[in-house]
Amino acid sequence: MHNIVLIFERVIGLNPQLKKGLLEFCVLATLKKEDSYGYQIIKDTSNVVEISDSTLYPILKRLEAQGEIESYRVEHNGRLRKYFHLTLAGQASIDSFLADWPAVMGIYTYIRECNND
Amino acid sequence: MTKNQFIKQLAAELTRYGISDAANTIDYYDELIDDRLEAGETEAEIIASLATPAQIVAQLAIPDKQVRQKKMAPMLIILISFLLVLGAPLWGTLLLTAIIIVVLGYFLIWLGPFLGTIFAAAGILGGSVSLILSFFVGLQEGWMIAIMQLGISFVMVGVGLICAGATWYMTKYLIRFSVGITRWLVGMFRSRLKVVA
Repeated sequence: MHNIVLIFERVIGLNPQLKKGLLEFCVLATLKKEDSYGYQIIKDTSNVVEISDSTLYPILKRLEAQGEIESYRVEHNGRLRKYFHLTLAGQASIDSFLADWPAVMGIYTYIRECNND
Repeated sequence: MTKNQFIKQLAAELTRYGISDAANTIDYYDELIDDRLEAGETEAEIIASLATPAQIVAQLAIPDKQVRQKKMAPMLIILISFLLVLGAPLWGTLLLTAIIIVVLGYFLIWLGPFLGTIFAAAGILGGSVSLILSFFVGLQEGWMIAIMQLGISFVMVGVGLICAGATWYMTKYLIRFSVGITRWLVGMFRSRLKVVA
């Protein structure tokens, strides 16, 4: 019973972003390295996770609306390319995600132990 | 499908579903296709690998709706509900009047075909009966009267046929008109609901 209460407390305490999915954090982490654009983000994250073109756009849109990334345009081969830049709010979001991870691992360990019993 | 066709279809779908910042969505896919073309992929390969415009818009429509719903504070919903109840005697009457006007409008435009059908039926049926009976009239009352009745019968059938033809054409155009105006009214009502939501 104590363990269940502990897990409940941990889940409640988790960053809500974590529940939305890991993709947003992958995009944020990619932009932490350098400013990037849609196609490059898909390529950079492809080794870790597959993000389709149509999945990335709503993520970028949401992150921009939340102020975690911002965009600007750069002229490239006679056209304007939209680059995304990680903001302080985005950095805070990554930090929060990493801080929440031990709690996630605790839940993972508990589930694994229960499963092994 | 070419890039231009894809973008055009996407723009049409975005407009159809009233997605916010449609221009940004189009720019994203336009840029993405250009980047992939630069990377060496062919236009056909890229378009084939992308989700269809309808799928893209469906994916955007749900969060878009959620965002719109989130924007309305609970207090605002209560206030709007209160004002709606308070103003019911006014807007209710206006709404009822509008509905009656619309129903009357439909009634008036369909009065023509209705009357046309009655004239056509009366002319053709009455004329036909009169035409058959003119033979018996000839036998009993004399052939002069029978010929006169025969002529009147032909005129009646003719007028009935003209009415039937006119009613047929009128009905065809009025069906199109009614469907068009109903769609317009429904569309207008839906868009007002969307604004309220």
